[in-house]
Amino acid sequence: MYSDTDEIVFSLFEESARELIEYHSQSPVEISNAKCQLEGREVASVLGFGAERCDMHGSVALIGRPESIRTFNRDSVDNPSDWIGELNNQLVGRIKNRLIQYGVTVQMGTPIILSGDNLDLDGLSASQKHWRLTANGVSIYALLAFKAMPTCSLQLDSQKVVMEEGAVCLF
Amino acid sequence: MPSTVLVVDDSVTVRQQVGAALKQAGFVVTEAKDGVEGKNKITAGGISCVICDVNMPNKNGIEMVEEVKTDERFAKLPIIMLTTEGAPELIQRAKKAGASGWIVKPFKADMLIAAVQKLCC
Repeated sequence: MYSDTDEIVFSLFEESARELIEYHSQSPVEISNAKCQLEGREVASVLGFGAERCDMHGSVALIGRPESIRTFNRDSVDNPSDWIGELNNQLVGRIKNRLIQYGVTVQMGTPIILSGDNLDLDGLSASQKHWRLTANGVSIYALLAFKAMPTCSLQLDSQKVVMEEGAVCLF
Repeated sequence: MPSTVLVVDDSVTVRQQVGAALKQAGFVVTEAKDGVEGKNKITAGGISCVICDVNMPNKNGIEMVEEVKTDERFAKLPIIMLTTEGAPELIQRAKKAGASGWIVKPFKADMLIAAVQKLCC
C-alpha cells in the first residue's frame, strides 16, 4: 500500500525517466512495472539520496546488459559502466530538481557501479517499485527504494523556479 | 588559431560527448576528471574556456572556480558549469564564485557551442 508521498515520488521517477531516456535514446520509451529478469553479464549503478524534509532517504538502481546500456545514448559509448553511472546521476538529478517544487531539497550521493552475472535488484526499504524501461526494443531495469516519515505531506508550489534541463544561462 | 577548451567532469562519457561537440565546432579540447586536475590544467596555461561539472570527487566544480578565480591571471577566464543541479541558490553561489554561466544536463550541443562561442571567441 503506497502513501500519497510514495505516489508522488514514483510519479516523478517515471516522468523523469521517460524524458531523460527519450532524450538520450532519441526514441519513445515504454515504461512498465517489472522486476529485473536479466541473465548473463550485467552492469548496475546505485545512487543514494536524502533530504531533511520528511527525513526522506533512498536509492535508485539501474541495471542492464552492457550492449543495452550503449543504446541508451545517441552517441557511441565506449564505457557502459561509466554511462550507466552518469545516466543514474542525471536521472536522480532530474528527480531532485522536481522535488524542489515540493519544498524538498535533496542531497545526492556518488554513483556506485557494479558488474557481474545474473545480478538481482532488491531494496529493503518500506517503499519500492521496479520498472522496465524499453527504448529501441532494448530494456534496462530500475529500482527506486525510499523511506519518508509517515506524516510527510508534499504540496506542489509552482512558484518555486528551477532551471530546466538543457537550459543555458549566461551570467 | 583555434581556442582550447578544458572539459572537467568525472564521467568519461560526458567528457567525450562534450569534447566531440566542441571539436566539431573547431575547438581544441583537453580533459580533466575532477577539480584538482582541472585546476592544475588551468594554472598550466593555454586554456581559453572551461566547461565544468559541479559534483565531482576530490574537489567539486564550484570549489575549483573559487580557487582559480583568486588568481588574477584567470579573472577573465570563462568557466561554464555543466551539471544536473538546477537549484537557484547553487547557481547564485557559482555566479558569486566567478563562473560565467550554467547549463543543466543533458546539454544540447548547439546551445553549448553557442555559449562557448559567445564567451570564448
